[in-house]
Amino acid sequence: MHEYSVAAEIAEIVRQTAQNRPVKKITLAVGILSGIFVDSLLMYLEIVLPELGMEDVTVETKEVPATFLCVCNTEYTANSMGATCPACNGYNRSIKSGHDCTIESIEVDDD
Amino acid sequence: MIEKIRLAKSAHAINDAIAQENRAIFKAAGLSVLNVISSPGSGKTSLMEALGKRLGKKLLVITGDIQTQLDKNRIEAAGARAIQIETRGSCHLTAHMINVELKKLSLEGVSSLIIENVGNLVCPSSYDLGEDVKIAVLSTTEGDEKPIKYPSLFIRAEVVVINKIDLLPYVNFNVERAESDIRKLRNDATIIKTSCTTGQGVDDFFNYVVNSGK
Repeated sequence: MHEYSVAAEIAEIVRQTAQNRPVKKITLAVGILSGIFVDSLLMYLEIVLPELGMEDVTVETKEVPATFLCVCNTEYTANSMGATCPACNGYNRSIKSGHDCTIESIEVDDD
Repeated sequence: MIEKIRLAKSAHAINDAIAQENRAIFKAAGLSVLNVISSPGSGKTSLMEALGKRLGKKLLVITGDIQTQLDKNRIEAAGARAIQIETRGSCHLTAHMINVELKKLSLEGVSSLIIENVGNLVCPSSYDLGEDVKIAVLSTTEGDEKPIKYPSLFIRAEVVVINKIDLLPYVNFNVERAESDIRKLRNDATIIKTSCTTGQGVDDFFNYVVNSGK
């Protein structure tokens, strides 16, 4: 639902980082708990990147699974919030990763 | 030549930097700040009114809506200070919107500062405003499955208020299921049950707010 805002935030960070050099590629890591619908984010990036003067940019996305740390000290990775601890079958855990949407890297043309 | 620049930066990095600025302002004023998030109509403003009646001008509520000053007027009528942010369409408050208001106002005499976010169970949970605690409000009329359907808020909310608890006899809401799902998402969540109509549990919410950060 807020993918437009996220796309605008990403585009602004990329613009500041590129410092007027043409941007060729953006690689994003999207956590499965981030609440971001990737197709929708890509659609908005297609709109907002050209608005900031960035045309023909390839956007690659990687899905980041959720990593949990159970109170039984087991760290486990899962693709949904519903997954219980494989060791004790419990839900008593903290979330280590999978919350965030991260700009991993960008590629710019230095010529 | 193509140069690869490693960023490893959150998409919300610009927002988060302003949120840290807000956090410093709150800390300098000795305030523990709460960010209240829920779907529209869950009773956020009614809870703010209940706090306003007890705290008067010591309570400052920054309230967000797409449009209208209705919430500000209600909260002021209850005795508290209120600032209305009209987002003109945006479905959540951002750290920048809060920062703009903070630069215009004095926090002198304020002992509790609460941000009442735009009614929405999804987007506001992704934006750090500089708060110390996120509070989710879930009302019994919405249905007990909302926590498990909207995990992004309930995994982040340290406190969940189950409001309109007086309506339990009339609605299909299983409190045990809701609590169990809330615990699955966040096992250390503090759960407070309230009714702004009967006053049930409102003291518990008030005590949480005034003791927050102490």
